[in-house]
Amino acid sequence: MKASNLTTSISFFLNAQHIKVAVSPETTALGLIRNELGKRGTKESCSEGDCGACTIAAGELSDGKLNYRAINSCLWPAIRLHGKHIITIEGLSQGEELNLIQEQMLEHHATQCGYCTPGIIMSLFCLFTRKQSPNKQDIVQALEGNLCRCTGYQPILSAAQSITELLIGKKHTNANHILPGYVSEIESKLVSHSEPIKVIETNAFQGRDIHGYYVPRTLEELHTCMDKFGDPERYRIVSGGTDLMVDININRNFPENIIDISEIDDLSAIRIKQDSISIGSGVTLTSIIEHPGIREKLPILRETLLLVGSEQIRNMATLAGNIANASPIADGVVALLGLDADVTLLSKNGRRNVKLSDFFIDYKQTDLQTGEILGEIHIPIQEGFFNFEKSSKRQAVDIATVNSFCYLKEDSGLISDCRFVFGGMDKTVRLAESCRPVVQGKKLDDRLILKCAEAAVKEFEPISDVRGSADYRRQLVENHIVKHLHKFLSINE
Amino acid sequence: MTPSGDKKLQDRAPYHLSGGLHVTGRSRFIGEDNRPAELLFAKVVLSPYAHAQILNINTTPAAEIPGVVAVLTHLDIPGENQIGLVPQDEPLLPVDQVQYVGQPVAVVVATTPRIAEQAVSKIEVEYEELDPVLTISEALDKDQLYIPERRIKRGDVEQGLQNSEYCMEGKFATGAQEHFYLETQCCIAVPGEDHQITLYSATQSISEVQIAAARILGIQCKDVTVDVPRLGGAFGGKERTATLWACLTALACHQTEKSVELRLTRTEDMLSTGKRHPFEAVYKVGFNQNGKIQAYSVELNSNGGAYTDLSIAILERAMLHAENSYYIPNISITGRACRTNLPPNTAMRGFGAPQSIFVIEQVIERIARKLNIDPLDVRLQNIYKTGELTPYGQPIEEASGGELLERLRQNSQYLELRKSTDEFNQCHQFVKRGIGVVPVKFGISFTSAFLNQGSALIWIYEDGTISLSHGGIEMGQEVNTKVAQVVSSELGVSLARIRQESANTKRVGNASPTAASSGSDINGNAARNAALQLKKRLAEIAQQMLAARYNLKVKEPRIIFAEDRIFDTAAPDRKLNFEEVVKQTYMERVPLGAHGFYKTPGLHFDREKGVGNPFHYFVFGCALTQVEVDLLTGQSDLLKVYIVHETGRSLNPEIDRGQITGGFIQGMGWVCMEEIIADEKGRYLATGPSTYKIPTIRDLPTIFEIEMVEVDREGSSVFRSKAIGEPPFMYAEAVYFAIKDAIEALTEHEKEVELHMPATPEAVVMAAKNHIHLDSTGTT
Repeated sequence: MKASNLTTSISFFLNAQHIKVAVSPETTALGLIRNELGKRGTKESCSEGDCGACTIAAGELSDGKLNYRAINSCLWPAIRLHGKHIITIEGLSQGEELNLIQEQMLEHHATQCGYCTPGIIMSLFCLFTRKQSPNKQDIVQALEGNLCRCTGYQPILSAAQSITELLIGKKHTNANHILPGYVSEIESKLVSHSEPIKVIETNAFQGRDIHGYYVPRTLEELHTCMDKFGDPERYRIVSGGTDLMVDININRNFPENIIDISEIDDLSAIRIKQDSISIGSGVTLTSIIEHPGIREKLPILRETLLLVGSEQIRNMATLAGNIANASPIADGVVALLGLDADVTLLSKNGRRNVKLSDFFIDYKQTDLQTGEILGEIHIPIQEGFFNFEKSSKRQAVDIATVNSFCYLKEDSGLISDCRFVFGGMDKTVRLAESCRPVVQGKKLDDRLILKCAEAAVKEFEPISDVRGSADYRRQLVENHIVKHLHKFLSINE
Repeated sequence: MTPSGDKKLQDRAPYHLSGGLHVTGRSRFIGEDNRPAELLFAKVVLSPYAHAQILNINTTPAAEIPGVVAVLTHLDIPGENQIGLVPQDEPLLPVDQVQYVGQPVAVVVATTPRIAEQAVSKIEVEYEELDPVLTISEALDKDQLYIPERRIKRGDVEQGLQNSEYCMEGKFATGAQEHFYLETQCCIAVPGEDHQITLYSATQSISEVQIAAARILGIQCKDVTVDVPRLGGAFGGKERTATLWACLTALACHQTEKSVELRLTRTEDMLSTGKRHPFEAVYKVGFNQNGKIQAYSVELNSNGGAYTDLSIAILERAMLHAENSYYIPNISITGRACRTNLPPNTAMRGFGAPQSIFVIEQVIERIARKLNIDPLDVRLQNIYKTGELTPYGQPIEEASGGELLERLRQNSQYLELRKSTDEFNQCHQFVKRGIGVVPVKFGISFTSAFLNQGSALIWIYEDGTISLSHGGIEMGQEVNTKVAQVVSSELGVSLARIRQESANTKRVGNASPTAASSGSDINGNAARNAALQLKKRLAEIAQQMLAARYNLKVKEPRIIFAEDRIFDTAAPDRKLNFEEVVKQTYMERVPLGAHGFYKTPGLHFDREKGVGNPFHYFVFGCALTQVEVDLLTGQSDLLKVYIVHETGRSLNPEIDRGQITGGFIQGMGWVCMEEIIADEKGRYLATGPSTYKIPTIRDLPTIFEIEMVEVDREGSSVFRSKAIGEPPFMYAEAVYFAIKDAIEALTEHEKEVELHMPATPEAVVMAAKNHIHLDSTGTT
């Protein structure tokens, strides 16, 4: 961290415009774009990443081409806009000429009050920049993070489907009608745009809610940064930011300093090995989901992660954040525990590996020591049956009431190994230990399934909360076990 | 005279008038443009208790923070501390007691939102906690009713029950619902000269805000202007509720003499604003072997929350819909609105009707189960026929419920669907399918007759363009599009000529709230009235011009306005341009402005006796849904939805379709997903979309077929159209019954399950658990 790097201003492209602006650490991308830069097409509604009204397209260069991802601008610190190309609703139409998405939304009467409309169009924009002919499932996936209370979604779906048809029918070509004309120009500008402003000076913000925002680019810089504060109470490590920003926006808990690890290259890799997969702590859920190696070797992880949050959230959030946050209900953690993952913890003194099952200590408490960060997740590649179940009030974008993972291995008709993991039943996600002795070495049948379910229920003492009563949770444990094991039986029939 | 009325609207399917602005992000909601310079920000101190004595409020530590401009309590209200309507029971800021969690206690005004927020946390309020009353049963025990119980009665229920072959009784409770408009409550107040004030308020009711703000500030209506460009959704949640926040902003503006913005966060909004009323009903029903209902008595008890708000009117509409689409000879409907310590529950789409319709539909389902008759047949057995009287004595004219149910049967291929559903259930152990059907009859008009009036103001400018104002608030339902269509159709001009103005108390005074599905009816008729006045004047000038220019002399001139031209049918090729006629009218010093007025005819209702004709007409329709329920996880998938809806002569079929689709999905949220839970202290636990789940695009059915039946009806409104906003909401109750049907498939429909409403996954799992056999040996 050289002194010359210290600055408070960021530089990025907003639609066709180059923006250079001073920001403070607590300013969100939404606040900057909507209030300070006056692009009021981007709406504010929930401030917790659950409604999608503030969706913007965040473009980053990948092989010289801009790749756009939908993100909830309420959950991005404005500092993260640096070096990006941001497209907002105002950047889609050129003069009076509507973009194809806008035109179809209008023609299908897919807007009523209009407040959710810009966010929905930006989500569709990001979808169509990547897929020229998305199917219904792709459209639903792209839009499930955008709430609309007026239309009932059907006309929005119709609009999106007709865009696909028009693109396939070559009545329009993608390049001309989805991407605004100025994009190629910005691509070339961004290639040479590498102003090294990545660290925000701490003294600049004394007296404000957040004093400093640090963006180390190497592990060394990170450790120096953490050392400087010493006391971990003085900073929060942030990767995806989807939890931290909700804590700031809703609970108004401002950390004294933020250390943003999303720019550390060493943490951003997925490595596929013969017998395991390693995922760096800076890798987003979307990157995991889209990785061909994961799709091939660990499809269950991909399927599980597709049930986490929305497209926007998955574009920001990381699996490591899921773990470090130690939520007792995180879908990703339930899967990882079921897959018998372990984690590498890094500190300036070196590294240590911890079994994930030993990592969680108590409610929101982990084995992470002062000066340590979560560096990498390792998942063994195993043979066997894997299944994830989730019960939540709503199918899309909801935190589970109870979620569970089942791993089973069979050897000549008998269960030779198993793991049942439950979330939402205790202070941490954890294994249901009592299942193994019930099924191990036995042939699975209906009676054994019931015994296993009964055993599992006995070992939990859940609580009642907004997501469900204790009785319901207990019933779900039983039902989930039945569900897992019936699936297993039906596959092996 | 010029012909009009029954002719087709010129263009029935224009796009959303603001659609082009919405899709480009150029449409402006409150506070998004012309933000006043030196704008101050208000933030409200909210009560943490549902019921407490206020012992002391210490504002000094907050007032000392640099950037804080004012800290206001009830002591700072210059006028009367009262925002209630009828009765006047709601203070703007409480004097001695708080009555619900989230009630505003004090207001901070500061130079930035963050300073205001910090100052709020520095205000010290000393409370003495009192016991809150939270539930209907507690309130009934303590006799906390807003008005003495109301009753609508016909025939002799006791006798009817005795004469019935079967009798049943039961209870049914329906839950609250958060409006979840995407734009939260907000207002910007701007001071003017001579104590005037302008309020840009997110309200469905400009006049109510105007009256309340004048009262609070000790000024008069002439001093208060309320302006609403559009709302980011409302659904009833900005009808009464907006008044509180607008008046707080007005107070802050008045006291600081600066422009002030107040905008609730989602958390504040969901914590402190009222919801759809939860109802609890107790009923008795007598019926015959063929499923015909002989007698029905129902008590409808609502949880009104801490102040009257609209609870009485909502109770009334619930009572007026208690029999839904069915003729019941002996009926007794009792209604009670309870006062509790929850945020004042308020209007929401359907306004009490969904709650009482749910009860009778539950009754129908139980009758069908009991008699082992198809529920659709039980419905047909009882459905209203033309000429039959409602319990309150209003005749049902043009009853089409039965006919529509038959269409629904055809559209859904009902028998085959039933059969395939049963077959599916035979071979699936833990996943079951079910079917639900619900017909709806919905009365159109405010039940307070005086509200059924509308005003509009039209100016035709010298260049032939038109300024259109009316009392309706645009909140996505496209009242603006429909009213503009009426004017464009009547004046024979393109929509592009018309500038639809914001709703503003200066242009349209004494406007009724935009509610009760009546927006297009009353404002459309009022605008039409204004357009006809102008048309008459223009026609006279046009006739003179035709005579002068073409020497056209016709004994009985028939002047036509079409496609921006004006001509006489006697010589259709001799056309005048609209603008030249306008110009000439101006030159002749004939007025080019007109105020239009409309009052809905024939409405009367005697509340004490429960008799009258409260409705102008009824809207009819019905829906069928099929669901697939995973009884282990409780997850329901909506497979098929068929809706048949009679629109009258739709002003704009695409807008109506949008209302049907949107209303249905919103209703689906209410019946199987959305849950408002308060803790034992009366604090709502779900205060954001992370914990309160409304439907997403993933919840759409695989098949969603809507048939809109266009029939010319006597009972209809402007250009023979019918209102559309609320009726489709109730169709979604069919989803609940489909889920129940699916769970009951566990017992081959022999046993009735107790299914909580909303039928969330939790409700499903808990309802199924006593009937499900987890080992396959135990299943049939």
